[in-house]
Amino acid sequence: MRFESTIAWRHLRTGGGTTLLIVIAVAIATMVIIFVNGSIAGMSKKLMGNQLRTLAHITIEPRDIQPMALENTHTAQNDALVYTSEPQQTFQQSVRINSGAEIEAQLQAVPGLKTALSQVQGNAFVLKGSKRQSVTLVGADPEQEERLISLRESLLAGRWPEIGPDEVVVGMTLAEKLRLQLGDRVRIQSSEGLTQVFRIAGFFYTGNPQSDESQVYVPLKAAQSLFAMGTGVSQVAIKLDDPFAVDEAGPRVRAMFPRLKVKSWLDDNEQMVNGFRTQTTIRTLLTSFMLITSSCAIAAVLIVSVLQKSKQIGILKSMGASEQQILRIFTMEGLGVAVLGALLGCVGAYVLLSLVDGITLPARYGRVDQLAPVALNGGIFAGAYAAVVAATVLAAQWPARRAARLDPVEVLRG
Amino acid sequence: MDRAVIAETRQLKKTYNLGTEKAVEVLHGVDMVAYSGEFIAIIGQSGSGKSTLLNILGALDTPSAGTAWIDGIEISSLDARGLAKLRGQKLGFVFQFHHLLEEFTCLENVLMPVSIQKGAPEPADTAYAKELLARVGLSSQLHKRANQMSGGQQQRTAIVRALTNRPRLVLADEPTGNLDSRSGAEVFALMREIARELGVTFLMVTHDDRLAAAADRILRIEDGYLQEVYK
Repeated sequence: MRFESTIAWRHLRTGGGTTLLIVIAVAIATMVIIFVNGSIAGMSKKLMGNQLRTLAHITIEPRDIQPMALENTHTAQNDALVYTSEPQQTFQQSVRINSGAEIEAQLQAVPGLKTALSQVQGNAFVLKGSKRQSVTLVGADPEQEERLISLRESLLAGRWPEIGPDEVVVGMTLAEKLRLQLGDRVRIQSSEGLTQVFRIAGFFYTGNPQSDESQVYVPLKAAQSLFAMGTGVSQVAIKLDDPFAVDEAGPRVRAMFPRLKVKSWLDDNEQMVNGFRTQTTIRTLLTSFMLITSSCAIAAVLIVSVLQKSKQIGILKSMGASEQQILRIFTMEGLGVAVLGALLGCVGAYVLLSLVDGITLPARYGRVDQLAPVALNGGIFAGAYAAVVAATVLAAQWPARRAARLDPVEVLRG
Repeated sequence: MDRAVIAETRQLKKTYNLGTEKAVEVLHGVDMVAYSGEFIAIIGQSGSGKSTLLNILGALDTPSAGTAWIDGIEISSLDARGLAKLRGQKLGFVFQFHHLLEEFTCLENVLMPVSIQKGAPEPADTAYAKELLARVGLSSQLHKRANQMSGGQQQRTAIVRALTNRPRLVLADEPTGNLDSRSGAEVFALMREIARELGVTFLMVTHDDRLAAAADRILRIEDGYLQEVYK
């Protein structure tokens, strides 16, 4: 191999402009691949983080109440039964879960479970003076809730999860709309028509507009009394270590609780999931196109190099060089430019991504947000490096084989 | 004197297909023998088949019929790898044009056949190469590149390159054809001397009758037939 590497290295060294051209082509391809993947992954991560932070991955709820037929009442035209316009609750159709703690205990057997938490969730109004704002009220044990939604890192002012029994934490957008201050008292009216007064204990800003405007967090007992739940809960929320593990965990949970309704976050966020899938497809397509384009360019330049060196190949063969040795020389040339070019590309991409990562938006609520967050993770760099090196070496195979098959008599005759 | 046979052909034929129906036979059953240490000149008109014979003996081309042996090895019995090995271990080539590798120095060029065989030259190989280069008067040119040397120096480098792997047979295809008469005579004299000193067999194709006359034997190829010319 030493002979082949010596010749290949000398070819590259004396190649001057040609070598530089291929190295630049490989570097640019690597840089674009890393940049595209790094930016899209960064953006996805941010969007995903914002969306998923305050979202349960799986929720267990009572089954929807089915409309019930009114006994012995038929329409005039035919024998069809008459249904009520409102769902009627029966003994079998409960709107609450009374065994939240038991369900939580059973869920501990689910692999990849981060936390399982009994919650009361429902629609409510926050009222301050003449202003009222519709919200989703979430009631749970604050310490456990924190494990589910990591609200502490989004807290701008006040306390969380150390809140009292009549305290509430609200989003910053809601606070602005109702001109709320820490310590203010607000009335919260549930969809059941019950009202309770709460003191504002904290403000959070997650970056997710829906959450910041319409979610409020109170202790479990307060929510139970607002929604007249007694000791029951409206759902058990599950957080997994990997949000996408719901595909495996969902059916398992469903099998554990066949009488309850088990929903995955994917069911309610189909549009967002499709958006991420589209992004992944675009990333893959762009990466593939870049690899194909750069491979073609490299193969073309190496073909020219083989044609220029055909006499030399003939001479080497006349001196005893085998086809395999010639093949290895040109493969090593490809490998040389690939390793060097991809390395330069990685450095260039790192610099570029770092620059983009440093661009910030005007601070909001004292919190600096990035314009285009990027993913500077080793996986993307290593993946792009490996893909470009493999594609370049593969692209070098065609010219290398052509070189190996050259007939020395023909090329020396000239 | 009982000398070893280095190269031998029997009823060697070579036909070139020029299109679908037309075929031209360049060699019509050539029989020849070259013994150890001989310096043989092959003469003949252009297109008579001299280079074709040399290419077949050099394991670069294959005969259409007949057999050729190099140092007892039947060429047609070897696969591509075996042919490459044969060229690397038993044969040396000198061409009309020096065909030195431009990216390498004089010494590196000379050591190329050894590098192909061993990966990298050993100190003994380098010493031998330097000795041969000194023998042809190129001691001062060791680290010069091909394009920094004169035509005569380049061809002398090519001759040394053909000898560094200690071949049994050197095939020289008009080695002086691209040199002026003085340089040509010098290069020829050098090859003659080295062949004698090292005991290497030389088969040299030439158009120059005066150089041919100085060889041990002269073989003439005419219309594809080989015959010995008695001096």
